[in-house]
Amino acid sequence: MSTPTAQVERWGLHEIQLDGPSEGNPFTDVELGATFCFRNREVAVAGFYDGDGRYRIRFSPDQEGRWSYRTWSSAPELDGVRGELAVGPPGEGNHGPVHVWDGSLFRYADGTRHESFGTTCYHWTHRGDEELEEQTLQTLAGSPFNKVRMCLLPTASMQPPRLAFVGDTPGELDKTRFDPEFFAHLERRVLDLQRLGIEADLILFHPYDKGHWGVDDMTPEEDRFYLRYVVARLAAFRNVWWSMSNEFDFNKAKTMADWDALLQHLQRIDPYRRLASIHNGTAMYVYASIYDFDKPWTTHQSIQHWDARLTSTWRQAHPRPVVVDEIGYEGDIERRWGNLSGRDLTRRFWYTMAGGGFMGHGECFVDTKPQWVSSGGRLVGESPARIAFLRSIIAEGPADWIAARDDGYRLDYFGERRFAYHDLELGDDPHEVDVIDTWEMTVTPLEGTFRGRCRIPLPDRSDLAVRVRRVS
Amino acid sequence: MSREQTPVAASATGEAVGVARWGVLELDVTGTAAAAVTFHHADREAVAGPVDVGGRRLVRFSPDLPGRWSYSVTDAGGAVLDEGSRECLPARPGDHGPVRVHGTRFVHADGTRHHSIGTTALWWHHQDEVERAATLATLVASPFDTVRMSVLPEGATSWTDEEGLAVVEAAVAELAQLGLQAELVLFATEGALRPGQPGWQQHLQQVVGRLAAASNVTWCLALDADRSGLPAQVWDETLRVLAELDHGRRLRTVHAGPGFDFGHRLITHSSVRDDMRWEAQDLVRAFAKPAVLDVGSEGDVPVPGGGLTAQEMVSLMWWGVCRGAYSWHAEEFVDGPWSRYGGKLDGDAAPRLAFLRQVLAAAPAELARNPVERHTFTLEAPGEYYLQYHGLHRYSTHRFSLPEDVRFGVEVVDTWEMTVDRLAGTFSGDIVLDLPRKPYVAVRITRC
Repeated sequence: MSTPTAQVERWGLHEIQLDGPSEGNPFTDVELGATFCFRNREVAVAGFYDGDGRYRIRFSPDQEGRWSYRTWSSAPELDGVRGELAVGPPGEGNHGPVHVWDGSLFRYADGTRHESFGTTCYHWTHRGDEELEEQTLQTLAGSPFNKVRMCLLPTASMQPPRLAFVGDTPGELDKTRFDPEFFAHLERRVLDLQRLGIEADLILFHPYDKGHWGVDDMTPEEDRFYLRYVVARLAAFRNVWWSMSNEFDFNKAKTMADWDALLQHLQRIDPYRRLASIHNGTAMYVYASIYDFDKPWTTHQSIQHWDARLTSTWRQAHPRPVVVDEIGYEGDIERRWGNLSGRDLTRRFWYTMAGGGFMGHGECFVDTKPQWVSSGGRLVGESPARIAFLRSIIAEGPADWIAARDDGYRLDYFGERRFAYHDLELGDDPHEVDVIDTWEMTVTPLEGTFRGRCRIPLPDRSDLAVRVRRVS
Repeated sequence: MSREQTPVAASATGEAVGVARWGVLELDVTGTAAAAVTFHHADREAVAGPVDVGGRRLVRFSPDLPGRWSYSVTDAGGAVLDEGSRECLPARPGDHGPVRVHGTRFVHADGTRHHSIGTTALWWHHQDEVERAATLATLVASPFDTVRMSVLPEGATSWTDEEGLAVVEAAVAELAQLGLQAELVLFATEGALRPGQPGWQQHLQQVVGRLAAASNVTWCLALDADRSGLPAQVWDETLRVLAELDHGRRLRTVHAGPGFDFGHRLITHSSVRDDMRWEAQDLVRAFAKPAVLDVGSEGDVPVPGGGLTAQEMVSLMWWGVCRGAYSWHAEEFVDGPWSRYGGKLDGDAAPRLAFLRQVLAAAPAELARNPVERHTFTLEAPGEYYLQYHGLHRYSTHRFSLPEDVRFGVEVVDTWEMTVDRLAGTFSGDIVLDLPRKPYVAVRITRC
C-alpha cells in the first residue's frame, strides 16, 4: 500500500491516519510506528491509537527534501504502509524547535536567537472553560513570555471534566486506556501557543495527586506506557519541551533511580530530542534538592531556587543552560513562595539574566480568581511589564551577553543595592554607557564616551543597571 | 574486502552481475555527471555518493539483504542518468556479516555472537610495509577482534587526500582478510581537523563514500570528544551528517567520558572512558545500548589513563566484561607504543586477555549484567550461566543464589594465572563457596 507524496514544511507536522482494529484494548494490544528515512538516516517514531478504530502517526521532519516512510505494526492492516514526504522550507514564523547552543544558551534550529522567558499556568487547559483558555492565550499574546509550564496530570483538589486516562472516579482510572479527547484538546492549545511563538513546557509528572487519582504512584510499566503515549502524540509539535516532573523529590513514591530511568527512557523514545529536564522541590530558604545536571539525559538545568544570584555558579557547574523555572511568584497569598512583590520578582529576573541564565514567572493574588499560576486567565501584577523591558534590553545586546563581557559589552545589575557610583575598567577603546532604571523602564545614555578606568555616577536609587557598549 | 565490479554508465545494457551479500558492489561513473546512486530493495533504500579512486569515479555499496537490488544514477539536479539492477547472492562462506547492535550486545548480521575485545593501534597503517606486516602478524596471534585506528595521520594538519585514504582502505581490507573489524576514528580531538571546521563535511563524504561499503568498518567520530572544547550541537550535527551519508549503516559512536550524551539516538553504542564514579550508574542499562569501555593502557607512559600494570589492566577489563560491557585494550610503553604505531605487544596483559577471550567464547550469545546482584559484578544468561569477577577483593567465602530446581557446576577461575578449578559436586539454590582468598578471582557457574 502506498500513498501520494505529501507536502510538509520543515519542522512542521505530518500526520499519517490509518484505520485499524477497535476491538479489545487497542491502546495496549496494537503496536504501531513508522520509520522515516532521509538519505541513509532513519528516524523511528511511534504511532498511537486515537479511539474509534483510528490510528495516527505524527512526524516532524528536520531536513528539507524527500523523506520516505514505512509503517510497522502488530496489526496487519496497519503494517507496511509506505509513502513519501516532500519537505519544503519552513513557513513564516517557523524557526524550528529550540535547541541548546554553545552549552549555556538556546537557539531555534534555524539559528534564530531564543532567550527563554517563561511563565507558569499549571492547569490552564484542564478546567473545560474555553473562554478562560482564550483569555489566557490573549494575555500571553500581550505578555513578554515565550514559554509556559503546564501539567498533563491532575492534582488531588481538581475535578476536571476530562483526564489523560479514561475514568472519572478517583483511584479507579483505567491506566491502560487514554482519553483521546483530552489529548486532542491539549494539542489544540499547544498549537495555539505555537502560533504565538510560545514554547509549551509539558510537565509529565507532579507530586500533587497525593494518591487521590492514582497518577503519582503508578508502576514503572504504567509510567512508561503513559510516556510512550504522550511522546507519540506530542513530540512532533516543535514547541514542546519536556519537564519530567515538578518538584520531583516531593514524590515519595519514586526514587532518584526511578527519575533517572524515566529521563533515560524519554530520551530513548523521543525521536527529536526535545528539550528535557526535571524540576526540583525546595523548602524556601531551607533546602533545594536540585537534580544532578551532569547526567547527560537532561538538556538543560531546570531549577527551583529562591536565590537568583547563584545562576552563574550553576552555569559554570554544568555545560547546560540554566532555567530557574520557579523562584517564587508575584502575589499575596499566605505562602512565602507566593507573595513576592512585583519589584522583588523583577529583581530576581534581572539577577538571573545578569548571571547568564533564564527565568520563569508566576502570579497568584488572593483576589484574582482563578489564579494565573494554576489556571491562567489574566495578569494583574507589576512584573510582566518590567520583564518585557528586560527582554528588550537582552534582545538589543549580543546573543551571548556573558561571553561578550570580554568583548565590548556588559550589563551590570545592582538590584536592591543603592550605589553612588560604579567603577569600570574598559581598556583603550571608547565605550558608550547607559544607566538603566529596571523598575521605571528607562534607559539614560551618559554623555560622551568612556575608556580605561572610569567611574560611572549613579542616581540615588535602587533597581539600576549599567550597560556598557564599545563604540563600533 | 572483495569486490565485484561492473562498469556502469557505459553499460546500461550490460549483463547484470551478482554480488555476494555483504560484499561490495562497485559502479564506475567516471566521466559522468553522477552525483548519487540510489539503491532499492523491497525492504530497504540506500544512497551512495561517488568518490575519486585512482583516477576513476566510483560508487560503492554493500547490499545487506539477499534478492534484487535496483539502482538509479542521478545527477546533482536529480535527473536519472542510468538505471540497472544487481542480484544479491548468498554471503561467501565464513562471512558472518557486519557487526550490529542487538539490545545491549553486539552480534554479527547473521546472528553469530561477537563478544568483542578491541585494541587500539591508531597509526599502525601509516608505518612502512615491514612494520605493517609485523602488526598484522601480532593481531593474528592476539585475542583482539577489532582495531581502533585513525583515518587522519598522526599530527595531520590537513584533511586526508585520496592517497591517504588509499592507505586506510588497504589496511581495512587487510584486517577484513584476517576477520578483524576496523574502528575508524574520523576526526581529531584538537585543532583544525575537528568536526565543524572548514572541510569537515567533504572529509566525511570522502571517507564514508570510499569505506562504508566495507562490512568490517565501524565509525568513531573522535577520541575524548568531551575534551575537544566543541559544544554539543557540533557532535549532534556530525552524527546527523554521518548517518545521512552512511549507506552501510555501520556502528556509530563517539569516545568520551561518561558524562557525554551517549543516549543520543544516532549513537549505536557508547564508547566510554571508564570512570569509577559511574559505578553507581550502570552504563549499559542507562543508555540501553552496548558499551565499550576504555579502561586505560598497560605500559609506562605518564599520561592520563596510562601506566597501568598488566594486573591492573587485566583486572579492569574483566571487571568491564562482568559489568555487561566490552572492555578495550591499549598498550603503550615508552619503548613500545603498540597503541600508537602497532608492531608487537610487549605487555603481559594480552596473553591473559586471550584467556578471557576463551572464557567468553564458551559463554552463551545472550549475556547481560545481573541488575540486582550487589556483592559482585555478575554477567549472566539467567538460569544458564553466570560469570562473576571479584577483582581486588579477596573472598574467603562467597554467597550467591541459583535457581532451586536446576543443577549447576561451579568453577573458580584465576584470571591472572589462567587456571580453572572445578569444584566437586553440583550446586543449586543458595550456595556458599569457599574461595582461595586472593585477588583476581572469577567464578563461573554453568548449568549442568
